Amino acid sequence: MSYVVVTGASRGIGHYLCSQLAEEYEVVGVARNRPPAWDYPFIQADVTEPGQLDSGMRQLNLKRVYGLVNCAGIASMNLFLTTPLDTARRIFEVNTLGTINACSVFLPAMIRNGSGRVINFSSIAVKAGLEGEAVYIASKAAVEAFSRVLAKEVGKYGITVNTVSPNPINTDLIAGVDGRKIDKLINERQAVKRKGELEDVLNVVRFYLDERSSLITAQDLALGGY
Amino acid sequence: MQTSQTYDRIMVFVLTTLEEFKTEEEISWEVNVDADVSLVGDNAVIDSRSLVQLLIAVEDFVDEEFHANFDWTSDRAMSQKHSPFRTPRTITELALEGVES
Repeated sequence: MSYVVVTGASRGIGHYLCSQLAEEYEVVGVARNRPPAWDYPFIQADVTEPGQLDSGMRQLNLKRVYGLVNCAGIASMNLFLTTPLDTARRIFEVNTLGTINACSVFLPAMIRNGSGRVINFSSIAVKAGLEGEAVYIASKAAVEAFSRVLAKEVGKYGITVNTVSPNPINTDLIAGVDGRKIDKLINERQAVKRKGELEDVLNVVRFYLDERSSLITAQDLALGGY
Repeated sequence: MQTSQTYDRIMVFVLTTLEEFKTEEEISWEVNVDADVSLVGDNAVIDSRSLVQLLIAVEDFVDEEFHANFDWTSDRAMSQKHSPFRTPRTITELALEGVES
């Protein structure tokens, strides 16, 4: 049985990925709150809290894990000078340290499994350098850098580590962003001029998870062409 | 007495696992594996990959034999001034803490 753990499972991309990946893998969702009508094993945990993930993994007796998809993330679109330090700290805690924490907890189970796939989430905002997202972009750039180095450290165990950078997708994450700003970004910066769909992200995640992708590691795939 | 027996069982497991690494050529046959052989640093007899495999094996052993948690990735384990993974002895001591907690 190949277990794939998905953080941020209560909504957005994470919730969607759980429903789709469950056709091929044993999906384990991770979120602070259990979503309604949840049909899969679930770990109720805040990814920023050391110990909660570990405790949840032990409760499910999850000894072997094949995949980890770190979807948990938050955004705050503000000019840097109007971003309180507490907000910046929270963004880094969830986006960066939450990803690092989950990797720390589940990598030993991947090593025990003999192979594994870590998929972390960055953003096209890192490539585009969007104004008003300095802290968010910094947190995601850190995830990319972390993933590249981690890939080198765990490749010897048959584990790959990659990032996916979604372009704008209609999720809660960008619900507060001005639509005109998103249209401008897509029209001026993207090679393919359309918003992303959840299926586009699923396509990349499936590719990374595929056992045949064992040589695909330390890569980032930016949707839309940036 | 119980603690001493538990300590001995963990230590024997650690040393046996290290001896098994010899057959996989992860440790030179010439190395005398004892409780104080170096597992990290310049004089380490195994590389970091083998050390991780050893720690996972100890985690499984502690779980199966004592139904306890050897949490070698915890902040507490990592933040000690001296690595708790220095030698079979220090690994055994850390694992024993998990059994007794």
